[in-house]
Amino acid sequence: MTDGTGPASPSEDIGARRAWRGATLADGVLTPEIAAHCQMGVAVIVAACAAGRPLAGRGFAARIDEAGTVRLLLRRTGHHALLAAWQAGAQIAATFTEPTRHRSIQLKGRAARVSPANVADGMALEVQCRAFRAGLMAIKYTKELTDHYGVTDPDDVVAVEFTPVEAFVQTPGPGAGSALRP
Amino acid sequence: MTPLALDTLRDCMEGVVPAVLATCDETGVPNVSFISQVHYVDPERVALSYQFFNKTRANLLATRQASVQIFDPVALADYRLELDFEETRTEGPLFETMKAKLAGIASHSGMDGVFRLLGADVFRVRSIETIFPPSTIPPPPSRNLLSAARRTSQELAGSGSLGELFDRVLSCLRRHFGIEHAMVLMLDENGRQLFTVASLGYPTAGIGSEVEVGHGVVGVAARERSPIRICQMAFDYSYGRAIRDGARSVGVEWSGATEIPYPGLPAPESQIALPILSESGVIGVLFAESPEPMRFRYDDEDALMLVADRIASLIPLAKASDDAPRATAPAAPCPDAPAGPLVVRHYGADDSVFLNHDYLIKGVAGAIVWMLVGEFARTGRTEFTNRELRLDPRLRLPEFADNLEARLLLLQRRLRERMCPVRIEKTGRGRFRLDVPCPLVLEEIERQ
Repeated sequence: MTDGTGPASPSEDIGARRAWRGATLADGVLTPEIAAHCQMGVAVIVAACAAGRPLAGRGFAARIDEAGTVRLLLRRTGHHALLAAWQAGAQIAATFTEPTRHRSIQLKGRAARVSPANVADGMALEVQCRAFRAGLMAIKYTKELTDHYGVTDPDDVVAVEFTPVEAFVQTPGPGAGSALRP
Repeated sequence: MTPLALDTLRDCMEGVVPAVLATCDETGVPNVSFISQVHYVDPERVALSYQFFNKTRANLLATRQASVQIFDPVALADYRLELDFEETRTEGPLFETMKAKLAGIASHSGMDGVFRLLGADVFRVRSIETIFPPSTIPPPPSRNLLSAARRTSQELAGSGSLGELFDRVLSCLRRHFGIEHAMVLMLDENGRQLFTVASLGYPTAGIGSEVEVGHGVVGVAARERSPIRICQMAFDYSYGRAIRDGARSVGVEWSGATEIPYPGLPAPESQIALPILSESGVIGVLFAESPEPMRFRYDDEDALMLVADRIASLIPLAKASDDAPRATAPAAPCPDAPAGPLVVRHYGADDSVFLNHDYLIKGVAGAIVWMLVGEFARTGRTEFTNRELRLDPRLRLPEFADNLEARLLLLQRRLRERMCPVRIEKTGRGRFRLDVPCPLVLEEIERQ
């Protein structure tokens, strides 16, 4: 969809989704290309609403299966309130941002399940964090900052599974926040 | 455990790593995005940059709540702030400070023209939660800023003149703060321009170079009476650009013929401008810059603002010392006296003065030097007083403006910098002497 150079713009994603004629995932919410974006080694940030108040958090990686179910990987430490809210049925928002071009996609859904991370999750986390660190180096983050990203105790990583019900383009610029629909 | 104080987390708010902003709508649907700027306002408040009208904005207006995750790029620690929305400011010091900072962030991240500040959203911080404690021990700071401010304050006391005060300021910035490039600028009689009276660390001193109020970090700091700081340089705020735009905005084609070249760094990464404030308003700006990004942080701003306040309190005393009696130095023979006469040409249109076809100065300082050499040519008089300048109708000094001393200092230094044989030397209480070691030829070009 993109040539990979220069800042992305919301209109690129809006146009690409409208023009998409191939197979989709999660009942049409995701195209394969959007699903690939979320798994390519991007910044993953998350939110929940607990007792009427928002809560912000950061994840590390995501895996999306062929049904379109998203499996977010994040630390348990620092996210207890978010995990508790999702387990109690709160909705989830997750935004996936490419550091070099600022291309940003937000998925919203209802959290289905919180579970310990498995070996395949560990591999995905390793691959995606490595790619993300390369992105951070490209935008001139210091070595200390870059090396710090993704360093975690594997036993502290949990997976949050949800089915996305809507996707939005969050790339800065005119049209930011638009729902991505056919 | 002692609750965390917001002002100890300011390293998280320099814009190095974008913060995470979460909001909810009225039905509990969350929204999450990166936010370019979380700005420290006071020990109980932060402000977030409002750049686009989007879902976040709609949620904030509906529920007035937010959660922000900030990251300390030095200690490698994460914190979560629980926030209550108070108000949006679309003008004033906070807005301008954030606008300048955002321009730096945008420029640094290739988002010039996309990131535009619509407002500064002010929030009260309900709670601070440590998500991940510091995972590294930051290196000790290269200097103690509180101690630097105290030593500077002590050393500035007792400055014998405005010139000495400004020279001491720059010397203290270099020795105590490790600042290599700095300037002191004073506001002109009309409150429209700032002119450089002292500088540190540039190939040419640039005494007399001007910045329009409202332009660049210096001009915005003066207009808003608030410190302006950029850690990642933005083209929009560069000082050189401010000067050129200033020339254009007053209908002058940028020619450089009657402009004193701006002495600043060609490619600064960090700049800070601090207003020098008297009871009646801004009287000048203290400015520093560096080729290094992130050179001036919140703590530097606090420490340098103490210095700017100290300068403001000492200016009246230094002016009084300027007027104090002192031993009159004999007229020293000028080493670079030219063999032939010196041609002094004055253009009435803008009071610009040229010496042997080289531009010297214009405006009020130009009118002063023209009046002095004219008086010397007619009467041979070399001794003058500040008072007669204040009262001379030809100089058209505003009745209540009190920066004549700064103008005279500018003129004295400009003559010295230009290696001009004509010099001005202070001689006593409100008195000074014009040293003219060579014959003068005066040429008046009348206003058309």
